[in-house]
Amino acid sequence: METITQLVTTFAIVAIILSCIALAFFVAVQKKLVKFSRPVGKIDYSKVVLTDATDFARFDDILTSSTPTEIGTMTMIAQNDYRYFTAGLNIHGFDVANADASQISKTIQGMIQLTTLFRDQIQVRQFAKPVDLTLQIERHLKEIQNAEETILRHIDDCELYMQQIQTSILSDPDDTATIVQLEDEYDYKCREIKYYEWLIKERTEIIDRLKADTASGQRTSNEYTYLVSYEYSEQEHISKALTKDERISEACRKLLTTLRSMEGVFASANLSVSIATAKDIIGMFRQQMQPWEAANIPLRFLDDTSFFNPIISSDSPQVIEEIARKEKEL
Amino acid sequence: MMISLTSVMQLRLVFLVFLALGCIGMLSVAFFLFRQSLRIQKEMQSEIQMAHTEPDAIRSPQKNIAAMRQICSPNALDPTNLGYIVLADGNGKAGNQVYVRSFSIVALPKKMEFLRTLSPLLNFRNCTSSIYIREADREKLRKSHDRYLDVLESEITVAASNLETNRERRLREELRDVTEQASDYESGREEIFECAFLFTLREYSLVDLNASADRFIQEAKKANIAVAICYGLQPEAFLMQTPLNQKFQALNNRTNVFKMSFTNVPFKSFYLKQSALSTIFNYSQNPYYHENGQYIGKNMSDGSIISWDPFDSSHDSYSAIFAGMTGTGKSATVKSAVSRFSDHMRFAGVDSQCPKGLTEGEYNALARQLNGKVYKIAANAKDGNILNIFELEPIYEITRDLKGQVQEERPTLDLSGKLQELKNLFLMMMTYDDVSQATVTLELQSAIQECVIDACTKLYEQKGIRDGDAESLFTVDVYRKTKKLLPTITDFYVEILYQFTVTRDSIKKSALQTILSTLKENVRELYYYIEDNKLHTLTAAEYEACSENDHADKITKKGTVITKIRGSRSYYDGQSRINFDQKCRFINIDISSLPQSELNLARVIAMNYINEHFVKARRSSKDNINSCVIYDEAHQLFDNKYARALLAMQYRTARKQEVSLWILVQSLCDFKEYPETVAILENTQNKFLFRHEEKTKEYVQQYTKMSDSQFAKLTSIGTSPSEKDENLKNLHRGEMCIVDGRSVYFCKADYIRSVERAFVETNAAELRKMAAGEQ
Repeated sequence: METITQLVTTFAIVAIILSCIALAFFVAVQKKLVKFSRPVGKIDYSKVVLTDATDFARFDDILTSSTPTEIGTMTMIAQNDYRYFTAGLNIHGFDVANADASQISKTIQGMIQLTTLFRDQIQVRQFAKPVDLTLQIERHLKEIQNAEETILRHIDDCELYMQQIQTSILSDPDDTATIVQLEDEYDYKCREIKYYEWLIKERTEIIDRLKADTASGQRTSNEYTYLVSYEYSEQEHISKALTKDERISEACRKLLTTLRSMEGVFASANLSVSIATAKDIIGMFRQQMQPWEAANIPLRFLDDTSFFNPIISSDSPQVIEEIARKEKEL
Repeated sequence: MMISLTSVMQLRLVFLVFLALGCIGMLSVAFFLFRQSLRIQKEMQSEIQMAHTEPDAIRSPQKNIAAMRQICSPNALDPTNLGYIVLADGNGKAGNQVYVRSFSIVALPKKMEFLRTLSPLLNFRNCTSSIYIREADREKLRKSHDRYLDVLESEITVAASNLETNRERRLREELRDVTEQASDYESGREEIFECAFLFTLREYSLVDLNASADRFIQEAKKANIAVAICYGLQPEAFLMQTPLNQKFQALNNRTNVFKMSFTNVPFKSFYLKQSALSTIFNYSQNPYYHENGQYIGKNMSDGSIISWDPFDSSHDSYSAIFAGMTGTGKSATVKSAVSRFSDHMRFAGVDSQCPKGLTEGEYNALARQLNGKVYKIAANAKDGNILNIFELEPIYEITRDLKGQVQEERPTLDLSGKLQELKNLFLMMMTYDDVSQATVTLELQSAIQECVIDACTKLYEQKGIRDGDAESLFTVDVYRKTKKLLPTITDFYVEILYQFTVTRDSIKKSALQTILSTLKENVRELYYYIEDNKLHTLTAAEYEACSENDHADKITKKGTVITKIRGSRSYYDGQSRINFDQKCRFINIDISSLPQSELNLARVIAMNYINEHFVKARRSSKDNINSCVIYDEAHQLFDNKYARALLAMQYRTARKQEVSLWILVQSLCDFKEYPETVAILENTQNKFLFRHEEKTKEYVQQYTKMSDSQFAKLTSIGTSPSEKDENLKNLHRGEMCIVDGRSVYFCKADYIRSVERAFVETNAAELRKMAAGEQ
């Protein structure tokens, strides 16, 4: 009996010690977890130190691929370690102002039908890009300025030609060929002056019209995109987890099917659509993150920069070799 | 005593058992806590690792993902302000900074209207908006309904007890509505969606941002919508505007990143019925505005400026079709557009119409206004302009890299293409009056084609001109490079005559005979005779020196009669007397004074000339000036198969050389009959349609994707050709429909009367008045 009592007592002491250790560890981890979790209330951003702005591009990759069924190519944004994929559908709109009641009703019906496809989360994204007529006005003002300068140049040329004609007549009146040529040049310059004078009048009229439109209100040109997503679920693939490539191909197939069904509904609602390309998606990011650059530096210019090429090269060695070769030949 | 001892032992045993069990329980709890702690720690580590993962080029060596992420990220971002964030952005105007403020909707009107309720906010200048939609959680919604119904019922009871009749009535109505909604939703008759709305404004200064935000709030108020600044949540809201379809929630400052989350999003969301959801879509059409375009008129729907650029990057093809009946303002629109593009584009055209009361082509006034050139082609004018159909110019083959940049331009000579063009031109000359076309058999027709190609090939060979060799077109002496004299129709006729004398094949002989008889009228001057199966040609002087027989025919010494040819349509025979100046703003080939019966042939030959000297001569990278070619009354060509083939070839060349071809026809249905013209229609993205007849509906809709109401409008714009009222005609002149790809716009062309009237006006009486006024 004593032995049993001793054994149980020892066991109890060990159990108490172990429990205390486990509890202490749990408390420590919980404390850490509380620190890690979002605190209730506001975040003090003044204490946030951002070391890398690319943290704001929260994606793994932008993939353009064809589906195994080859029903088309599409672009997806892969996120969350290739577990969450998003694809877009650009909407081109229709002319509501010229649509009759039956068409508008058809569009509303189409939209209602479209909502039946909304099972998972959808993001309807739009950017209202201002139509800036000031750029065109500035261009025309520059043309007017150029025209004025050209007129002055041509007036000088005309005076010069006139002097040359008079000199030619006095010095060699028989050289009709030179005189005729000079007269032709003179006539041409006079006609050019007339043209530029007319151009100034025309551009001034156009500027007036553009200014009147600018004053009438701000106009925007809108870019609409529907963004749909596929999320890889571990539970759905409990028997065999998919590899990264398998996840990509599964996402591509599912998203393309969704986009195709949406395309059909949009078509029946009088709207034309196109699947967003990699360029469209990058364009959306740029418009959001680098608005000035997106508006002023088209994406195609970046193709020529070091952005997509890790190594910067130069033609200089070849040029030097070429010069050396030519010098040798000489 | 024994009993008590046993009882004590039993009690001790029970205690020990309980103690053991308690210890086992404690150990189990300890084990659970330990496992749980390890799991949490592992999760935290993986989350931190994921947040800092850089999926860069190492993972995918072909693609520089890091660079892509850099392009998609701000240059720098300051999230420390609670009411806005600041982006560092390239070389922005105001100190490289962009100020961004996000809003969310906190209250929506009870009833939403399609294209009205949200449009002022969605169309707000420089505003990015995102609407997050997902199917509502049924259980959550049911509970929410239940709670609300309970509240309503208790409120009704209170109102009834306080004898507040009106309040009770309103509450009962509300109760009825909510019950109906709940029953609709619960029975599955109606779907409900959860929507969150986010708007982000941006400006280059804080002052502008504040002003813009004030205007935005005012707009929202007008639409009965309450918006709130995402105070303290600006970075989250900003990230939610990226096209990731993710809601973001901030983590603490330990990881410096934002965690993605679908729940507990701190922005208000709304439950919307399907019908309400359908109203949030904002599909009104965008303005028709090309950044480098020219003002051509105003949108008939909203009065906005229409700015068109045929070379806009949104266009796959640069060509344009102008279709409309006479008097609808088609030519006026084209002339007006040419004048506005004149200082940075070059134009060439074939002018075949002479307006009533005038003695010259309708584009001549425009050419003069732009200090361009007019080349008049007149019948039998001895010293008139000649367009040699054998004219040939080098074409520039452009090599581009994968990015579309011009790498190399190499001159070459497309002689084989030219031979095909010549074949079509000669066949068109021969089928000039349809009689010959009808009598020619298929066998003979192919023999004729073969003879034409052979003769042309030989003529170029004789001049040493070779396919693909641009240099073979020139002779080079010590001082300069000059273009060789090219073959002429007379040379061709002589070659055919020669072939005729030597060939023994009866079909070929018959083919040659047909060529000789049908082309006679196109030869300027030729004297020849055949003696002993040999062909002899004479000069005019030699011919005059020959003696005459009794019939006043000139004869040789052997008495053979000398054949004399002086064609009545010989204005294409000889070396060209026209030199196109590439710098000239507008080159107009005026064929309007030719007899009506000869216009088609002249049109095709002029087009051929423009193709050689204007379209092919275009150097796309060396000069940045774009070129356009205008073919008025092009539908006149469609009935002749050779003319159609030529037009199709020229269309392809223009496309290759990045030249914009403007084809003017009477109706879009003119393209209907033939595969070549249908191909042109299909490949042309820009279409300017003037008033069309109802009967054209099916065809127009097929090729423009116009809706019924848009087509109905197309039939009502402008005035009908039978309209007599001049004021009404002038009022509606220039109303047109622009079809650009799949978009349709109705526009009223704006002719600036004070400066464009001189060349747009085609009414002789008006022109006379104008001239008198000027004097």
